[in-house]
Amino acid sequence: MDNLHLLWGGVQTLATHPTAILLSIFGVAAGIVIGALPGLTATMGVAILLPFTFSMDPVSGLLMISGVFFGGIYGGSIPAILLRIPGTPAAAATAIDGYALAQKGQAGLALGVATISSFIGGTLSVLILIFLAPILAGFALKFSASETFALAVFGLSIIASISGDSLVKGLIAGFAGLLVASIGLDPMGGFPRFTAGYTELFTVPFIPVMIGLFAAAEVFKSMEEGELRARAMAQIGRLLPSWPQLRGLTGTLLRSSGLGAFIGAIPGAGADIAAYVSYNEARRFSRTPENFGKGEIAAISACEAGGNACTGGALMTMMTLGIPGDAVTAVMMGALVVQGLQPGPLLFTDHAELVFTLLAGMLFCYLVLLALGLGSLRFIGRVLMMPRSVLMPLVLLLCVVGAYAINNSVFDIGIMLAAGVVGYFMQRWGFPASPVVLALIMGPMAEASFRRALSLSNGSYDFLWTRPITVALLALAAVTLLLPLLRRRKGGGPGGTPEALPATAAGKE
Amino acid sequence: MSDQTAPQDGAAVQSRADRLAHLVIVALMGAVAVGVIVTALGFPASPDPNDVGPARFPILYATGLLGLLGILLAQTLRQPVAEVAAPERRHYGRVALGMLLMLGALLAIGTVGYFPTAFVLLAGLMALMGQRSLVWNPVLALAITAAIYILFDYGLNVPLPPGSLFE
Repeated sequence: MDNLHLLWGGVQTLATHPTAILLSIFGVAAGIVIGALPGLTATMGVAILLPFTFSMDPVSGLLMISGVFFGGIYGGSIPAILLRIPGTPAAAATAIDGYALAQKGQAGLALGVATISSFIGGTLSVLILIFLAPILAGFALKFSASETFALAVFGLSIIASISGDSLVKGLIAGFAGLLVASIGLDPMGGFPRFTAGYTELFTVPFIPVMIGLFAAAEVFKSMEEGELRARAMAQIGRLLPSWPQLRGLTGTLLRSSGLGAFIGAIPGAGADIAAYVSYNEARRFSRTPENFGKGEIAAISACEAGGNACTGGALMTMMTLGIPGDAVTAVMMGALVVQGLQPGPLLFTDHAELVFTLLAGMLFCYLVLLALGLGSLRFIGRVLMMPRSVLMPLVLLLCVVGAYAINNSVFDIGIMLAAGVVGYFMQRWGFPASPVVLALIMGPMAEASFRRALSLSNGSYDFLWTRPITVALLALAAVTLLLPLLRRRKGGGPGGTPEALPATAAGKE
Repeated sequence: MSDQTAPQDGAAVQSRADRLAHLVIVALMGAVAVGVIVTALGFPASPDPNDVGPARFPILYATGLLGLLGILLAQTLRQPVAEVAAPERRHYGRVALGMLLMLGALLAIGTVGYFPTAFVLLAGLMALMGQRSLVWNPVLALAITAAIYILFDYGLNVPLPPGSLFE
């Protein structure tokens, strides 16, 4: 009840602060645009706008940054659904079913479900942040290197679910991604691996690879096809799901929001992991798992609710423990420090009024996201009305500029182009791209945490079976990996061909 | 996936082109995996006696990849080859030209900068994809190039490459 009183006080303070309200709206709008542009991530948006907050009061500055964060995570779903180009890594999972639904002429429904799910997931996660922060953050704090390793393995096991028709090809793509992820400085000793002397390769060039695999490859693919596909894409259809559809998503929304907030609270795990895990769990709980990968709205709902719920979870660990849950919150931590606020348990006692004003503002940001999202979908959907002969070159140019903008490096454009060419041939021969992305996210995390855990246990491997959370996560990973195999043995099929779908749809036209 | 036959794990038939492509993929990726193992064997040991060192994980991944490539090879060789109906017309030449244009842009952007590179790339790609109007092609290319420049350079404070010729 104390929290409710503080929250009500925060709402009243916010109501007398028009600048903060306006900057929240601007932040969400800017975040949606940034998230929707391939190559620009929420992290980049927050980092770019951070210097603008130096001269602002704490509430205005931090709410604008929060707005960019929330809008950026959601915005990535728009090009993912309309063009199969995830604007952010978190939207890669949304692209699977979102684009498939768009191909059926129901892009509006996919976007509407994504917006509503983002709003619900994000709002629930902020409510969790408000009411359950100490409990959940305390649990996440128990995660040491061995649990983080087990979490990464669990994340990697999801490759089995997103492999499409051929599990072998999915796993090959995953292992190839793991090899790419091992390029760069060795996480323990700092030894450069497979860099060929290029300092640009000291860190895994994750974003250029992702832009190339998902965006450039899609443009190359579109070059080989006729014009019919563009007209089919242009059918937006109705925006809002029907009441029975929405009611049917209740379980998915609640489960994915909880998962997203939990994963977000774990340091090192971000919205991308939350989206994939939520997708997998939604499929596991679904009565029609065979529809996943073919335009299932529950899949879109799970990815978006999970991804956006991550925001509250990540903020919770950052604000209560001073540990950033992901890259965006690391930058946001800098914003708090710039404003003279030290993240940690004392933040809630020393600056309770300010913190709850911020939390009330975050709830407002999600309301703005819902309004701006639904209000602008038809406008954004008009992107599809552009002739493909103009749209696709524009997308390719955005890929070039987006890849360059990460480090102001022409080298990254080369990485993007190479990944685009490889991605095109992968699509051509049925190798899914999603496992590569998953491996790029999880590979470094798995290796670094495994080696750290091994060092901490003096070279003994017993951390793999003596820590209950590690054992539980590894067992879950084994089940996730083996379940599709068992289903195939029973003749159930993989249930969805995420990566193959666009090509298949195009083929049907 | 190959459009013609939709090959699955040992289930469907494949065309000769599919079979050849899969064999080439297995050979290429196998060579990469072997190369990774050979290179990683030359990595130094970790100074921490409890650490597995920088080579362990790449070797593990490459070995796993080799095993999976072996399975794919077996599946490909086992899958029957059949003549399939001619697929719908595909513009592979257009894809190759698009990739070449991108390569050209990559080589040029550092020297001549964003503006001329983006303009030529856009105009070229639009022409390649069917927008060949002598009026609209350059107008659209110029407008999009300028819009992206303004968005990034001014709106987002991300300076685009000016080009070493103009610095």
